[in-house]
Amino acid sequence: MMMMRIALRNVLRHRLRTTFSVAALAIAVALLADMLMLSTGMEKTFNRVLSSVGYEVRVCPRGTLPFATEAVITESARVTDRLARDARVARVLRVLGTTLYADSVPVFAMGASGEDQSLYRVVEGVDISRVPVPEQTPLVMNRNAAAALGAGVGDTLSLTATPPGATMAFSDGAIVVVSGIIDIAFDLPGQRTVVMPLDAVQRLRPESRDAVSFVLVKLHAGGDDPLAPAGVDDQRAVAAGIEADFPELSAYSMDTLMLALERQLAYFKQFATILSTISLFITFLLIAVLLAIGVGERRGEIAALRSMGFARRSIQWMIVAESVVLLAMGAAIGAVLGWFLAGYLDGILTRSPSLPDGYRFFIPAPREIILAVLISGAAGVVAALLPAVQAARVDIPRTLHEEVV
Amino acid sequence: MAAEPIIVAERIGKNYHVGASDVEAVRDFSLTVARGEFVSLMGPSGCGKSTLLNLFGCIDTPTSGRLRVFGTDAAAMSDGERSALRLRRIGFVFQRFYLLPMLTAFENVELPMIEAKVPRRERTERARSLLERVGLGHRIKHRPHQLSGGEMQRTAIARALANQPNLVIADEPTGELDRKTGASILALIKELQQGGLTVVMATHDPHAAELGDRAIQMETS
Amino acid sequence: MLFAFTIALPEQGGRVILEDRLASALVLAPGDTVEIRMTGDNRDATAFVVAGTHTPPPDPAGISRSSRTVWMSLPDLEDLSGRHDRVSRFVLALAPGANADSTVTALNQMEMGFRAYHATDVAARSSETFVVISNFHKAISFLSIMAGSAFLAAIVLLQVQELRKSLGVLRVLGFSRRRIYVSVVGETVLLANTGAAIGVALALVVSRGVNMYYRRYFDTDLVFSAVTGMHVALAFGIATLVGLLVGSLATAYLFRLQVNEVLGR
Repeated sequence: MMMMRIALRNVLRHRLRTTFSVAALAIAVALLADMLMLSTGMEKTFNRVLSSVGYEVRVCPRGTLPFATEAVITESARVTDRLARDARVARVLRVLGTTLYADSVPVFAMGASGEDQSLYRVVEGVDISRVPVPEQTPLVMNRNAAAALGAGVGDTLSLTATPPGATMAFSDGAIVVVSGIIDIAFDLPGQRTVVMPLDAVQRLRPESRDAVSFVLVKLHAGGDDPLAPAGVDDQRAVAAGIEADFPELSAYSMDTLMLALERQLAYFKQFATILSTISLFITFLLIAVLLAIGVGERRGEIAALRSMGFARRSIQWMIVAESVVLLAMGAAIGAVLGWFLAGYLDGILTRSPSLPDGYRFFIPAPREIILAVLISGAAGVVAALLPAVQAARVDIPRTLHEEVV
Repeated sequence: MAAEPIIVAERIGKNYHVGASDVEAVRDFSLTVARGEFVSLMGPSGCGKSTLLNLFGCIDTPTSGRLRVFGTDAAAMSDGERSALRLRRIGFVFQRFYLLPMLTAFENVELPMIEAKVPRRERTERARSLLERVGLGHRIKHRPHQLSGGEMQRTAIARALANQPNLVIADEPTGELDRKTGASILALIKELQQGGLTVVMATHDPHAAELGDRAIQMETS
Repeated sequence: MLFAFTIALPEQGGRVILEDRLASALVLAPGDTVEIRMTGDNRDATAFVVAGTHTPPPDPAGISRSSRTVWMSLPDLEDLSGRHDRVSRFVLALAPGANADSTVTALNQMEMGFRAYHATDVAARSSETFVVISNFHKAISFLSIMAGSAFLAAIVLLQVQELRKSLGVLRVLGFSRRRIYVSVVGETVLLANTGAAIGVALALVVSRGVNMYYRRYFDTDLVFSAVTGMHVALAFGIATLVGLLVGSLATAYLFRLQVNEVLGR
């Protein structure tokens, strides 16, 4: 305790020097915390988006990810029939994504089969599955589409597969009624999205009558909660079964999809790793240099303490305590700085035009802050060891002699 | 039965390596210091006074001869054993005080007792009483930079006595002080010896040396 | 120009040009036959003759792209996909003297359900992601400079603390404040520039490593990291500036200590 008090007072004695040391340490701790957030932020975002959809297995054209290309699964009924025979499968949702035109405004249209979907959240009106008039084709749209089309709940729209002026070679248009406004987790910024029943979208694209972009599969949960995701083993087994039966398809369990998505942002993960290492190195170097010079400055004091009978371990602890005090101060400021810096850096990166709305690179979280503080603390303590050992091994007679001279 | 001597040095020598050369700091020095005795080591700079104090204080070990401190062979002790001996049985007073600047006078005196694991209540009482004894009862909360040279040395003496040692080693304790302040410090050291402490003091001041029961004149070789 | 490269498309139907990496992955050479069908399609594949291979120029926008490209005639692709008379985009080469901006405006006023862009706008849009990443790097660089400056300040103040006695003696001996200032600031600037020199050397090594790693990782010839003369000049410029600031601060701190205090205690 006394050594800690000595360390604290020694650090506070040199206020200007300490201010700069703590500032450098705070930035290093903040950067480390942010880089930990960066590497987990993307994972958390993917996890959140994938979990919010509520389906564990995704079946796509081989080698593609959902909506990554225009490729489609041509005879999707065969896939759903195969899945219906699997006792582990609770329900299946087929989705077709394509560009349609409402007047001259292109919109991204999704056709979704099934009533029990969780691709989006209805924020106004009702979902397409709850429209009471069977002869009307219902449609829900996101706010971007509503704003671009000047449409609201209850309005009627005319949709075509080809822009006005082009020859209607494939299909006539469809008259749809807006039943609701929705929020979709994976919309791109500014993207105008509408969702309709799958067969309505397929009717507009007659070249691919039974085509879907991907198939979502919900498995029976292992536990009592029907909404809980199924075990990863079941997910992988179902995915493997689909790939075995349909070589032209890729099926992803949640974990393999996460890996595939993360690979696309590998740069940021590696950047985070490199910068984390540099931050730790700065912490290490800073503590090592500061303490080494500090020990040199206080050699006489240390030699006197040793001559008074202070054990080597006590001297070592005194130096390590100084590192702990500096780090504690740096970590306290670094934690706050890291928290706010994460928001700032996230703001920079999320301005990227190709990112879905709601995508986050940095998600401020106490866990990453605590982890950064602990890792920096460990680096600081390790960095203090060499100066501490040097201090404990100070040549008492020679130092006392030199100090007097 | 006569009391066992505190220090028994038999033809001790100490060589240092300085660069490529060997420097002989002390050669064939013999001395016995009895319990309660005040021995002054006198001589010019470089004659080996400080080296001898380091050897007697178990800070260093002789390269030749035999040295027994408190009945134990100094050369046979480990670093830890010598540290423990210094902590509990030997008090040091330095020319340059070596007070920790970030601690108050009270905390400086308390420090060796913390290392010796003296219970808090006891060390508080002891530190206060020691500071009062050296005439600094009113300065216990002052930091070293708020004290005069004489007060700093008094604090250092109180600190040297913290763990109730049997032997006090003083290396030029008045070297940084003016004559009047120096005299008061020497009087304090003499008072401690009269209270039963053994004192070995190095000085180049003949007046200071006269305070000892014995003054040993050393010369450069 | 929308594309920075041109490729001679197969003149005859039933022939394709493969991206070189695809050709090497499939061990195909000109003259070989390759069967192609649409992804996710379980209909029979169509056989094509490999007319040649093509190495696309490195494209930063496509580094995370794992797909490979096959070039074929538009009618072949239409037959293969079952989608006729549909294209993703038109690329227009204007007649000499035609104004690109007014053409773009005129096309967009037609409200045909498509949008026309000037080539420079397309280039700007496709590089937006890299502008964002560049801004992110700048923010990190700023923090690194802040941390480095604080680090330097702490070390120089420590050194000044150590040197204060000898500097105090210099003052008593009559050395002017200016001379001491120049000495401390000079040493700090030298220290900062030494750090910059080591940093630049490290950057050169790391840059090579980064390029080697990412070129292999993304299977591309792109240059990911380049240490340019501008970077080197910036490193030394910042080091000099930081050295001057920190040195001045340290000297001011040193001069605050009284000469008597310096000598006396």
